Amino acid sequence: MSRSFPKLIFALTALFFAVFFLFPIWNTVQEAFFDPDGGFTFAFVGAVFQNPIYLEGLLNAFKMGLFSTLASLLLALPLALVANRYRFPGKEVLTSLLLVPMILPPFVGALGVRQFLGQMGVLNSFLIDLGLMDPDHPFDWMGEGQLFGVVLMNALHLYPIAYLNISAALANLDPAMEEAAENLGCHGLRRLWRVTLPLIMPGVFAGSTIIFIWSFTELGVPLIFDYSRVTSVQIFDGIKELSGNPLPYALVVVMLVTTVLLYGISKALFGRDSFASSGRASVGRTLEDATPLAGWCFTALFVGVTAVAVLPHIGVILLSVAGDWYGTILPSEFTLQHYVDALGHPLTVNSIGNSLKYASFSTLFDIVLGIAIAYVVVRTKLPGRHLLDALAMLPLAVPGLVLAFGFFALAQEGQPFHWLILGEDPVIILVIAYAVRRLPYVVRSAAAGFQQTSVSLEEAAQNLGCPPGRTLARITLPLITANLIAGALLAFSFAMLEVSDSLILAEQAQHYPITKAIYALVSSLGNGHYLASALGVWAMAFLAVTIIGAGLILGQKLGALFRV
Amino acid sequence: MLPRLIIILTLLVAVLAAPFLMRPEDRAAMNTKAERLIIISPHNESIRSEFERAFARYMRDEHEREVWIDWRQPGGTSEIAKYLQSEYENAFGNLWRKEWGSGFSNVRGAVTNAKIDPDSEDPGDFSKEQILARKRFLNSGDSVSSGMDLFFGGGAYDFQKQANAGILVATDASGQYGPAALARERPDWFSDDIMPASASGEPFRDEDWRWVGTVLSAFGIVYNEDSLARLGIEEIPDAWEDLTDPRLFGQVALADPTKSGSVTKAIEMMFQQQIRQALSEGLPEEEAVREGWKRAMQMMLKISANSRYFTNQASKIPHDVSQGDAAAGMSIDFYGRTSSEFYRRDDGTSRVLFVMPEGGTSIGADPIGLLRGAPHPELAHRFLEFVLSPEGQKLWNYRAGEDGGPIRTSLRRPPIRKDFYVEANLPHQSDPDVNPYEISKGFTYEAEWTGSMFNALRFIIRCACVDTHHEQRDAWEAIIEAGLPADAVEKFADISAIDYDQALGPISETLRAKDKIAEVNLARELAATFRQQYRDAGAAAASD
Repeated sequence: MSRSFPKLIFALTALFFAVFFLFPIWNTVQEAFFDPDGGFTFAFVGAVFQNPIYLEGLLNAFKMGLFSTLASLLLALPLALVANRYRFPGKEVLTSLLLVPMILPPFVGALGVRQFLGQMGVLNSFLIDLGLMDPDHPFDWMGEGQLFGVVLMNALHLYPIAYLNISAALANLDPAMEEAAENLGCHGLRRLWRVTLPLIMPGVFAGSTIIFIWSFTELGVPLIFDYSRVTSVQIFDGIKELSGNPLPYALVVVMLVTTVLLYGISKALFGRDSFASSGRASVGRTLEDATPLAGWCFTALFVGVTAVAVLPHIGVILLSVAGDWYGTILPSEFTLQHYVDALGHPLTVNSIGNSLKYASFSTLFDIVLGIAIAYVVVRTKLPGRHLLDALAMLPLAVPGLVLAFGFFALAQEGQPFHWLILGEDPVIILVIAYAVRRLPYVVRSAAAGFQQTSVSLEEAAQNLGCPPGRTLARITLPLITANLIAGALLAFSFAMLEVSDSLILAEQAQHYPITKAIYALVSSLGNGHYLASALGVWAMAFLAVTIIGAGLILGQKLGALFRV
Repeated sequence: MLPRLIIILTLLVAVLAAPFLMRPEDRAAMNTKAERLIIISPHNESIRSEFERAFARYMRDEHEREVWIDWRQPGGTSEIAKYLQSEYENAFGNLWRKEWGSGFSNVRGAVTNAKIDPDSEDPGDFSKEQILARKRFLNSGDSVSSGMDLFFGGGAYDFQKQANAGILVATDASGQYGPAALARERPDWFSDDIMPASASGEPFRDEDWRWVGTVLSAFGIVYNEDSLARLGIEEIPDAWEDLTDPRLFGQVALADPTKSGSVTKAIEMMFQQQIRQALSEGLPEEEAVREGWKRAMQMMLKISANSRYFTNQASKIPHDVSQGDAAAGMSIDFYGRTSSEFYRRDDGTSRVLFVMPEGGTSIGADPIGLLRGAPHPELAHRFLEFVLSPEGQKLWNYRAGEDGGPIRTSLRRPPIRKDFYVEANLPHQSDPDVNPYEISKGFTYEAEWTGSMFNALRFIIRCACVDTHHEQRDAWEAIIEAGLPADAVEKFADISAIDYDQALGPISETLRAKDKIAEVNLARELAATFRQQYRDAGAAAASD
């Protein structure tokens, strides 16, 4: 086939990445290293480390990332081990329900959690009813333990990613290894510790890296919890005084270096094909039937974890129909008025329309780019194709906040991207920002499609005189449609509920996407939380349909999309 | 695969379509026959719908005309300001290109720049073209328009800025309609007995009639009755000082003053009150300012130490109070009263209440103004007339359902007309005990005391309270547990690093220099000072 076609694609995609991914990051990085006279300096980054407030923010962000990751693993590991080994009642349904927590942006879930943990909230009311708490001295969970609240929220939202990765690793694990250990007298926990866990470490670390980066840079949840001494919020606040202050840039650099280092380490340690997957499929795994007692225990474990994980969602749903909810376990009155008010609110319908616009364009963009990149990576032997592959996956390692910040700084008056803001309409810049962030999902699913489709079909078409472009359109793409739809659905739904770019880049109410509309509704007087919850419930319904849809189409392969 | 796909896509479409189908019918389509008035406003939904309903009825009854209001809401006051500026720059740009050709991009920034005075001899830093552009804009009559008629709601400060920019006008091009024309028609309305030009040191209208106040706003304390009862506090917290009560430890809601202008304004009121107090004790003004500043700042440290956390939005304060997460907080009056109204029980009581501290707040005007090039000046004039008439004023504070009052929601705001506060209105009012003119007596906002230090005040509170909040709280807790030993309290409330002279001198100078690095360094030093001070105070209390 023609050599110029893949080269052209390579050049175009590389250019796109250079301009809209590397350049904004570079621009941010250099602001932090050059003083106003153009001299190179470490003073700003140094200033971050000299300022106890920023140091504490970093430490807290680190805690937020570490504890969220550990808590997610703690939740996910037993579940994955059990599901991989045993059959138990209700397993099919329960394992698919595990994904439910992902259908809500966690900062909306935080509204529900506030309702549970407030001084007059559900938990305290419950404890008071049980006589375990003095009604005159309710404990202020959120005033004292904001970090705890943020970690809880992140862990409950992100443990499905850990679960998917660990399950995938377990599925690839050669049962012969475990059997060999068993034969040599290594049983039970010892075998788990000495054999199984080391073998699935790549999966564990892959999931952990994503969860760590995600929660280390999480913005929405700490904002809702008024947890301001953490790096992400300090950057968000810094944006309001952008002119001339290099410290937000320096903070961004510190955050970026941390995440990229982590990503690099995880790639270097576990990126290569490890023994776990190299020795796959020598023996098929057979599921054991758990004893009835153990089986029901496993069922209870799954139900329990899912129930705790959806508590924030239940809180949001109840809040959206609550008349008043104060000092009682359940709301004291119910109403549907909030839905009428929320959907009739000038912000709402507009913002749904805006989000649809931004998300559809960015998904289209992702599909085109994703097919092109996957094609070059899988189907050609171009030198540098692996670099392109790595580049396309890099947005997973770069916090949304960093990229959003880079775009924001470049879109100011007089900066190179200012022309991308049409008047005040941020549509182009948001589409690009969303597209870059979600590209890895589409590239992964398209690449999987190309790998599963035999190249001989394309060769046959080309032998019969079909030009390469036509072959792609008539033969290859129809064969990988399912993969593309799944990847696109994920890209689309995550773009619909994207937080960092949306909060930072959309500055005028008529251009707000849905997440910023929810954030704005939270602060409207009186019924703000109820309206935000009603809109949040809509968002949940929307994401539920798309994620379950993707799961149905893609089946077991869904987990692969969240791997580094 | 295909049937699954169809099911998923159908569900997806259903979820996506729901909000569009449930959207209330487009009122523009309903009102094709009626005349339209276009108002840009940050007012909330209740205020907008009550005024639209009442104005439509007034026009039907008095003038036999059908009207409806097309509300525009690009966001809060600061978003509206940005929006108006770009609308007028664009509109003027179109005129410029049509009349005078190219070169608009060079003068774009000058169009609404209030610093350019085209009549002045001294051009300052501005070019001839910029001054010409500004002159042409100010003389454009009704040929430059944003397509909107009125700007309704915000603060006097914001309206004055719009007026100075030339976006608000006293009358339309014909001179027949607008606030200045209304003042000519109804001189009695604008007398000192009905609508004074200023009160409590705050302006109630523009000297050149480009905006006029319609309703009043003040600052005060929003509190939760249940929470106070639980904490054993029986008296209503009706003075700023009440928020320093150690029983309120961990129960006060505050917003970060660097993120909320209204909370900074409330804090400034506290400073003004303490200065006035010192003055009334016979201190000469210069000393009174220093002494009042000191007392207020010490109060501020204690209030901050009592606070649960610093939130980023002023509207979260009444919310946290209404949910019982905080017992009391500083708030602008209508935030407090709107929350109170939202949680009103059938018997008329509410767990959330708002009180204005007597002598502790000025009253400011919430204005309305005519936009340059308004497409419906006559109708806009009718609306101005209605809002300022005795009938229009009733909407602000009559209870919902009262004859002449709002239909659905009591708006709970104090009208600007003095003649509203009479015996005859009392039985119909939602807040009969609130007469802002009485409460603000004895309070006069003196801009020269603290006005120039607004930014310094925010900055100081951020360093001494927000950035050091953990240490501050820990120290205060130790002091409370030790029974408030005098030496520890004194150590805790030592404000020598941020007294009046420091704030006016080095701190203000650093902030004005716009050198961010110096500012950050100063913030770090101040925070370090207070961090250490709180640790010492806590240790002193523990050793007692």
